[in-house]
Amino acid sequence: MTVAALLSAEGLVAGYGEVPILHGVSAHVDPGELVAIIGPNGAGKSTLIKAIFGLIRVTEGTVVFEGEDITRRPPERIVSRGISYVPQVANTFPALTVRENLEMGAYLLNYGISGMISRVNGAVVDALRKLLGLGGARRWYGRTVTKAYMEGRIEAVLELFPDLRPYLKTRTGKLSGGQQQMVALARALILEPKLLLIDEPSAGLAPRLVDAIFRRIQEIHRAGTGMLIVEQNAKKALGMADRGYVLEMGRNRFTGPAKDLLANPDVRRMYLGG
Amino acid sequence: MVLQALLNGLVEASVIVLAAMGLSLIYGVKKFPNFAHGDMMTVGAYFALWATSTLRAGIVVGLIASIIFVAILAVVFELLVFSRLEGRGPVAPLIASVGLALILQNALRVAYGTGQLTYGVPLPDSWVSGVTDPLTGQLVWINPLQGVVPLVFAAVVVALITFILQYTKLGKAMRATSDNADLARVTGIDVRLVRYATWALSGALAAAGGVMLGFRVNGIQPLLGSSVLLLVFAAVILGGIGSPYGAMLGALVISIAQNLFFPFAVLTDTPVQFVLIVPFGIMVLVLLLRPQGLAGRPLGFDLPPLRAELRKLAESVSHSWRRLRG
Repeated sequence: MTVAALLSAEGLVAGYGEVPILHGVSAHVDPGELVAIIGPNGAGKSTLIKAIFGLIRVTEGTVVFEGEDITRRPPERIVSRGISYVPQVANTFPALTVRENLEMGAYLLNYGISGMISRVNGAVVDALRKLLGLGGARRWYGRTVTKAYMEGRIEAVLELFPDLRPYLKTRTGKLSGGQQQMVALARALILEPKLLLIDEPSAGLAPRLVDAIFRRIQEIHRAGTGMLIVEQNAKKALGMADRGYVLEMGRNRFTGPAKDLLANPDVRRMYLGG
Repeated sequence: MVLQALLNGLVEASVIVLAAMGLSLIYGVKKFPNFAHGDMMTVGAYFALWATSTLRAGIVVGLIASIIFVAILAVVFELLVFSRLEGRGPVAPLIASVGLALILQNALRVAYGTGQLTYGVPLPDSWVSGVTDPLTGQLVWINPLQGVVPLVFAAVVVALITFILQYTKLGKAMRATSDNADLARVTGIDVRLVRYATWALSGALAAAGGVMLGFRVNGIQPLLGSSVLLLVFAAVILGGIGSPYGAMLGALVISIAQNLFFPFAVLTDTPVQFVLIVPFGIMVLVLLLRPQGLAGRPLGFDLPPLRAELRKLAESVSHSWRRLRG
C-alpha cells in the first residue's frame, strides 16, 4: 500500500452477542476504489460492513478512515464523517415520499430553523454533559448549509437517478423493488460520501433490474466515490470491481485485483460456479 | 336527534382526537402503548386550574401553561424512565407507563382530593340553531363552552400537528423514525432528539386534551383522563396504531358511532347503558377484519426481508448442489 488508504480495517473480531462471526478480518479501500466482498452465506460479509459502520460490537481490531480511528463509533457519527451505508433490506422509509426519503438522507445538512434547533440542541446537550460531569465528548450536530445547497444536492442525485423524478411525491412503499433500491442509493449519496458501503444491492431484484442497479453503481464509482460492496452475485460483482476479497467462515480467504480473482481457478471452482 | 347525535359525536371526537394523536405519536416512535397518557391529560387539566388561580390569569393562559408543563413532564419521563428501557421490547416500558399512571393519579388525589373541581368559567347558555332535527322535531343546539370551544380548538391543533408532521424537518424525522428506526439511525437522523420532541408533542396534546375534556364534562377529578383512555385506545387501534392520521379518523368514527347509539336506543327501547358496546364492538370488528387498522400499513411482518431470506436460502441450496455435482 503506497497510497494512503481511504478506509482500512485491520484484524476485526466482531459479532452479535458473545459469539464472534468475524475472526480477524482485514480489508482496505483506496480513494475512489470499488471493492467487492464475496463469499458463501454465513462468511461474515454483511457483518464486516456492519462492524465498520459501528452497527455491531467490535471486540478486537481497528477501523481507520482517512487516518482517523473510527472503531466503535456510533453510526450517526460515522455518517457525518463521510461514510454512507445502504442496508440490504428495509433501506427506505416506505411511508415517506421519495422526496422525503431524500430529505432524510440530507438530515445532517441544516439550514434555516432546523439549523438553529440543531445548534441549540447541541449547546443544551453539551451544557448538560458538562453539568453532569460526563466530559466534553462533543456530539456531532451536522453541517449548516444554505437551502440552495441542499436543493442542489437533491437535484444532483436526481440527475443520477432520473427515473425517480416522476415519483418524487409518491409514497416510496408503492414503488417497485428496483425503484426502491434506487431510492436507497440516492438517499445514501445526498451527503456526498467519500465511501459508500452497500449490502447486497441485487437482493431480491429481477435480473434485468440487477443490471440497471449495477450500471448505476458503476456510474457512482466513475464519479470518484469509493465503494465497498457485499454481493451474492460474485461474478457480476467482480466484473465491475477494482479489487475483491473472498471471505470464508469469518476469515480472509483470497484477496487481489478483481480480474485475478476471476481468473483464479480455486475462486472460480468454489465461488463462481465452475 | 340524528343531527344532534352527529353534532355531539363531532364534539366528543374533538376531545378524543387530541388524546389519540398524542398516544399514536408515541406508539409510532417508541413502539409501546403509553398507559400514562390518560393521567397526563388529568395532570394537564389540574395544572391549568392551578395556573389560573396562582397566576390570577384567564383560562387561556392556564391552558398554555398547562401545555408547556405537561410537554416538559413528558420529556422528563423519557429522560428518567423510558430512555433507560430502550431496546428491551414493548413490555418493560408498557408496565412502567402503568406505574407512572398510578403515581400521577394518586398524587393528584393526595393534592386535590377526589371532589369535582371546575375552572370557574360560568357556563353560558346553549346556542339553539334554527335547524329542526328530523327525528324528534326539536331544534339542534350546541353549548359554546362545552361544544364550540373544544371543536374549534381541536380543529386548529389537528391542522397544526398535520403541518408539523408534513412540512417540518423534525416532523418528517418523526415519521421516518416511526417508519424505520434502524434506517433513521444509519441515515444520521438524531433519533434521540426525535424521541424527546415526540414526547414533548405528545405531552402537549395530552394537556390540551385534558383541559378540553374538563370543559366538555364541566368538571375535573382525578379519574378524568383515565376514564376516557380506553376510548382513546379504541380510536387509535381503529385508525391504525402508530398513525396519527389514522387516530384522527378513528376518533371521528368511534365518537360519532357512539353518539348515534342514543337515538337508536330510544327507538328500539335498548338500555342506554349498552352504549360502550358500540366503540369497542367496532374496534373488535376492525381488529378481526383489518388488523392494521383503517389507515395503518399492513402488519406485513417485513415481507422484503422474508423474500430476501428465501432467496438466500434458494441460492445456498443451488450453490451446494452445484458444488456437490462439480
